[in-house]
Amino acid sequence: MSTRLVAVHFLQTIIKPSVAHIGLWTPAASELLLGTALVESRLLHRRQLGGGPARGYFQMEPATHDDIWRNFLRYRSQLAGAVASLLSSSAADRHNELETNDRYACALARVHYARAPAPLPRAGDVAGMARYWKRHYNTLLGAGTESKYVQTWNSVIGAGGV
Amino acid sequence: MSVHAAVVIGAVLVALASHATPSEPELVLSLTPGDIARIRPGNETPFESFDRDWGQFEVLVPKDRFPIPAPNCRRNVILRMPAVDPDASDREHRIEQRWQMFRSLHELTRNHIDGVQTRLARGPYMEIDDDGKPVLEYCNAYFAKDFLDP
Repeated sequence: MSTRLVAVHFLQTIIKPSVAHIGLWTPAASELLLGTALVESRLLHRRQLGGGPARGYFQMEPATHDDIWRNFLRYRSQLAGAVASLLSSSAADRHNELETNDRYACALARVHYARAPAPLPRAGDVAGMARYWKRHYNTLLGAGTESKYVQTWNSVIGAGGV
Repeated sequence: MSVHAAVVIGAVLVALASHATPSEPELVLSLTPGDIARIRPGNETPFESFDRDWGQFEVLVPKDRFPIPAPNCRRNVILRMPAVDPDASDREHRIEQRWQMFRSLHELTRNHIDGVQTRLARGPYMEIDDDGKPVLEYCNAYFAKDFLDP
């Protein structure tokens, strides 16, 4: 299966249902999350290359995961409940779920973006998505670049979008 | 290990910076030509590309030549220069500083200069062991904010 087909399948079966489940679905959010997964892992690597702490296709670090729960979801019980319901079980190891439960990891990535003060770029604005991802997800400390995001998106999805 | 011995085998962790603050103490690092395995992006990178990618770059240092232990790292420590936000008010100045360091490091790998001294940030991904010495949690280390002023 081509990377594009894998990406479209991931969008339809993981991103859309999980983000809709927590009530934060928009076309722009779907696109940003797909771009994030592609640039972070190319939907290939569930462990960080080089032995770093990031986990899953969205390459979220356990410390980021914990901060989302401690300082954001804790004060939003309805959203927290929706996210928690994506866990494979109530006793699941949540850090492990980042690596093995794509719907949970996707929901956490969406919530992470929901904490950003700036509105999402419009759907189809690949350059805007790239900048938004770099600033709010990969951050100034991350190795990613806007140009890598755009290059990855264009090589997998192409100019026609999803 | 003495500083003299460290000079022989690799990069040197010179000292705790005297002006380090409790919230972000920093460490001075001296690099010699043999201490660098690779710099990303490469030597041919033009300033325009460097600027477009927010002035960030990485220096790969073999873990046995990096002065801070990295027990969970297999091969190279990744010393990363943080990016400059494109909306930062002093962006041009900070990009220029990073470009100077980037060029100096490439010159170092080509033996055009003898050494580069810089400053490491303590964290993220750095712990203090029971003896009060820094240890890397993974393979990641970062240049400090005042990396040009060791």
